[in-house]
This record gives sequence, C-alpha cells and structure tokens, in this order.
Amino acid sequence: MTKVELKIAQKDDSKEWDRLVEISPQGTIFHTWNWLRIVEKYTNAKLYPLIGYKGDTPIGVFPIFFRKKYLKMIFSPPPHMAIPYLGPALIKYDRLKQDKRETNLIEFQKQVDNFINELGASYISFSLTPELIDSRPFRWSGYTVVPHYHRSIDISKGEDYVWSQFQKRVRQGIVKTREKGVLVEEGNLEELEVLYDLLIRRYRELGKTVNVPKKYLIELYKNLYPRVLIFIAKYEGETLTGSIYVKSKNKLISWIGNPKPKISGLYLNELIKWEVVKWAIQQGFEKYELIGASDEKLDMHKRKYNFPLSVHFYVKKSSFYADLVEWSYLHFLKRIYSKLAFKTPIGRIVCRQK
Amino acid sequence: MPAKIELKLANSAKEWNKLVEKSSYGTIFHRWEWLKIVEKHTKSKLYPVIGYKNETPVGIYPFYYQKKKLVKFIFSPPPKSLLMYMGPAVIDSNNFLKQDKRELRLIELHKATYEFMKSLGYDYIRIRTSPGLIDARPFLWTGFCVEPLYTYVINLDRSIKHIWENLNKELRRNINKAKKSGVIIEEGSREELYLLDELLKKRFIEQGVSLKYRDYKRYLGDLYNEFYPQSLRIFVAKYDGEIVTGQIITCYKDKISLWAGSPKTNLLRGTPTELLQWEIIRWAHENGFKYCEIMAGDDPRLRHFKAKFNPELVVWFSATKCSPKYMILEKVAKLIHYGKRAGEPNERSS
Repeated sequence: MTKVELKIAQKDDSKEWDRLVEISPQGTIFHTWNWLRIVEKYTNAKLYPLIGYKGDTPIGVFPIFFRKKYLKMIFSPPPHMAIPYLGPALIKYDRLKQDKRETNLIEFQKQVDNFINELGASYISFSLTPELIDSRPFRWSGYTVVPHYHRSIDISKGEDYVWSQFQKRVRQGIVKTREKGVLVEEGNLEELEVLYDLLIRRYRELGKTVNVPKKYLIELYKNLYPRVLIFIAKYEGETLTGSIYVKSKNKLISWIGNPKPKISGLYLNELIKWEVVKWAIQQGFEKYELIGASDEKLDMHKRKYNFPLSVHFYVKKSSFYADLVEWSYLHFLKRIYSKLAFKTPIGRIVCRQK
Repeated sequence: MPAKIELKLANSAKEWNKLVEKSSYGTIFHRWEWLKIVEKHTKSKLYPVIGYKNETPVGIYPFYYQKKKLVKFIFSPPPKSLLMYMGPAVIDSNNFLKQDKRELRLIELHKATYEFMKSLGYDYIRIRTSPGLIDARPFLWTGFCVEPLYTYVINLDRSIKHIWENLNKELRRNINKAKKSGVIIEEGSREELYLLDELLKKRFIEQGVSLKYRDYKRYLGDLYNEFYPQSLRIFVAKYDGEIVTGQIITCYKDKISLWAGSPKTNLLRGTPTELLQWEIIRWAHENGFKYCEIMAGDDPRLRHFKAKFNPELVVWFSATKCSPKYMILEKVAKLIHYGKRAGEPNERSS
C-alpha cells in the first residue's frame, strides 16, 4: 500500500492549494490560501499548509497553525479569528467509497499527527467541518471529541419554504418592520466599521468583549470582497445593525454581527436574515448557515428561524501541563485580560463560537 | 407561559408501543416487551418515563436503575443486554414536527427526566441515544460528557445490482468464493439461536474476554418467544452440513439491523461471514426494507470489515455523568485494576 506523504505548500503552490480546497467537500472559504495567510498575520502563529499525497495523487489538505507561548500549541483554526471550523479537507471525499474514504482519512491524520509530534506540541485543537462527521481516527489516536452545532437550511427549496419555516411571530415582525420603512442594503467598508462599533457597544452591555480584531475584518473585506460582504439595516438614514456574510461555495454563511439594536419594537436582524435569504436564492446559493447553536442562551434567539441543526466536532489532545495552563487561562488570565481589554477601544479574546 | 412538561411512568404496553412507533428515534429496543425482558435479565429496575404536555404525550425516556454495593447506576440501555443504544425518543410523528418544537420537546423531556433521575439519586448515568438523533445539546447543557459513536447503514432504496456493484471488489470476490466453496446461508430458528450463542461465547473466549460474555441463552430465548419471526430472525452459514457462523437480525419499521452475531470463523479465510451478511442484505432488499444497519462503526478492527460494504456512516451519542463519589471510586478502581473502569461496561455485538 502506498504511504501518505506530507508536503508543506509554499507560496508558489497557492493556486494548487485553492484548487484542492475547491474539489474537497470539506474545503471552505476559511481553507483558502488568502484567508489562511491573513489569519497567520493576526495570530502570531506559523501556518503549515499541509498537503497529503499518495504517490503523486493529492488526497487532502490540512492547514495547521503552530504557536509557542508558554506551550507549544497546534490549532486549526486558531482562536480569536471567529473561524467556526477548519481542519482537514479530503479530496473528492464524496465520490469515494466508504472504505477508501476511511483509509485516506486515517492515514492522512496519522501522518499529520506524526508531523505535530515532531514539532513537540503539547496542546492540539481542531474544529472539523460539518462535512466531516467521521471523528473516529482522532479518537482512536487519543483525542477527545465533543459535538458542536450550527444551523443551516436548504434554500434551494425556495423562498416560500424558508418563509414558512420562520415562526409566525417572526414573520409578522418582519412584515411590520418593512412597513415602517426599514431598508436592508449591502454595506461597504464604512459600514463595516459602524457595525464593529455597534458590536463593541452591545458586548459591553453584556459585560463581554469583542473577540475579533477590527483590522483583521477590514483586511479580509479588502482582500476577499465579494466573498466577504456586509448587509445592514437602515432606519431613518441610520445604520442600526448588520451582519458580515461569507460565501463558501454553494453556502452563504451569516458570520459575524447581528448586535441587538438599541431601538426596540423592530425586527431588524430578522428582516436582514429574510432579505438576505431572498438575495441568496437569487444568487443561486443552496445553503444558508447560521453560525453557533451550541450555547443554550444564544440559541434561544436562533431557534425561531427553524433552521435544521448541523453537527460538527471539536477534537482536542493535550498534556497534563497543557491542561493546567488552559485551566488557569480560562479561570484567571482571561478574566483579568478581558477587564483590561474593556478599557481599550479594540477588544479581542476568544473565538465567538463558544 | 408554555405548559410545563409532566412525567408519568407508563403502565400500558399498548400505549407505550404506539408512542415508540410515532417517534423517528423509537427503535425495537424501545418496545415495551424488549424493555421488560431486559429488566428481567439485568436485575435492574425499569423506569418507562413518558413526558406529557397538556395531556399530550411528547416523548418517552426509558431508563434502568441499578444499585451495586455502594454505587447507584442509571443506564439507558443497561450493560449486559447486548444493546448499543436506547435513550429518549420524542414524538415527532416521524419527522412531521417542526424543528423548533422537536428541539424543545427533547430539551424539556431530557431536563425533566434528569431532575427525576436526580431525585432517585445516582452516582453514574450513561445514556446512549438512537442513531440519527444528532442533537446532543440537552446533555451538554445539563453537564453530561458527550462523545460521538458511529454505526453503518446501507441504503436499500436502490436496485440490488447497484448495491452489489458498490461493494468493495475484494469483498465481492470473497462472497463469490464462499458460494463456490459450498457455503450455504439458511434461516434458523430456536435451535440455531442457541448454537449461535455458543459460537459467540467461544469467540469471546478466544479473544480472551470470556468474562464479558455471560450466558445469554435465556435472554435470547425470551426475546425469541416474543419477537420471532416478525421482528427477530436468525440466519446461519453452513459448510459441510455444520453451522460455522450466524447472525441475529432485528426488523422494525423500515430498517433491519445486524444485531448480535457474526462470530469470526477462520474457515475459508472468514469468507462465510461475508457471504452471510450479503445474503441478509439481499433478503432485506427483497422484503422491502429501506435500510440495513450493519453496526460496529466504532470498532477499529471490525470497521475495516464493515466499511467494505460501502455503507453510510451514521452518528449517535453516548452521554455520561458521574457523582464526585463515583469519580473517586473510579480512580481507586483504576489504581487497583490497572485501567479497568469501575462498572463501565464494554460490550460489542461480536
């Protein structure tokens, strides 16, 4: 049997990398070369864009980030970047028979694990895409696996179908809000900044800090537009709320945003969702995804759209010492840090996911 | 304010079975008769919980209570019943219920039942949910540790030729070889069931895990009395007039499951087992079933064999929660037994 061999993709390989991401069912916009390079810039981590080959045939890509701070750590995706999932993307996985899928995944994962061991990492954390439900190779090599959730709906079934799924109260609210003259439109860089400030304000009210760096979002927007775009709700000329969307193949992802507007009685975020659903259908998207359904309190606000749940897996392996460092970070350092961050205009901490 | 969920213990087999029927997550293992037989053979107390909202049943949640020495266990399903999964089943009229209602029913049913479990007192709870129930959040939200488990399902809603062509090449060759060598697949009855039990026991002894395989003869006999031939069947592979391996299958709704059986045989390089499983798939296809669950997705050794049938991977969950007392006992037991977990059962169908 041919062994899987790893190659670290270089700048010259960026086109080939993106081609592989394109033909893998697990390949997302977060896996694309430009996105990864921007993430690398904002995380003080080194990116290893690994490609697995069987002979001359590529079987998968696996972008991992290596960071050394107190510990040697491996991430895919790294925290603070609001990336819901990354991890391995297997080439033509959907077209292979089950036994072949498993062999490729198991062997590729094993080689990546060897690579990580050589780096001497004692904390490893991956978030697999919803398109890779097979977490077994990770468990069999000592990782703990925990399910996480998002919501996504098949919008190829048409507008009427999606509309009928919304709770009645939401539908009435949307109609009423539109009648009041609220407009949903595409925003630009200026609105991105407004939206960011609105998010900071809302998070402050909740005693939290915004986790994603503003410059990171701006750079993504500048480099990846129109695959990264903004929709906002305007009322009497003022931007009241909005959301950043990303296009990942046939899926439109409602990514960051939707802060609770200061004005009450209007269904602004609901209206944005609905207008964007209609827009996405026109643009030929097949899926519409809402990020994050694992948090009980936050999910209460998302259940009303009636989007089916999709599960994906967090896998983690860490040494006793790494666990101790993580525990102290979560229980002490993070709290202190978040209090300090409160006083600065740009807060950043922890992935929005959880 | 929405109505609160109310729990009652079922006392009518008919009503219970109707609810199992109406839930997409209701399996044959949830059926009243099966639950009762398990109760009898596992020396545990069954709590057949039904959740009601405004007098309308919204879900069932069977679990078993056991007290061993100092430790109180709650299981669904209990160990030593050869069952992989059970857990809650919400009444969704087989998927007709809207997403938000279905989610809410599960969340409320689990939370209320968990409160009930707490009132009974527990040191260790283990719930394993039906395949296809992907929402494990109610468990996470009540502090359970959740891990995914896997099973394999073959979609039979295609021509048998298509299913055959989708099998791994080597597997097809092996099946043909077994046929040519004169292996015959037949349906069995009680006698074959008992013989299969013996074969399984022998196989477990070979693997050095004889302790885990108790005497299942009476348990299987009771199940046979209740479910054969409607929902439980036995298939055996014969070579030279002798039974070399066999498989017990369950049939419920539109699915058959390769439940217990298929002990490995070294005869003809193990090919009779492959032929046996293929013939069962064919039988299920001929009899109009839509899915054939071939199980064992979680066993690194068995998955290699099962994946050759080119099945779909389906996820299910194991959710566990333990008291501080149990954690200490487990640590002590680990020290004594070098890694053996206190009371943690670990059984496979083959």
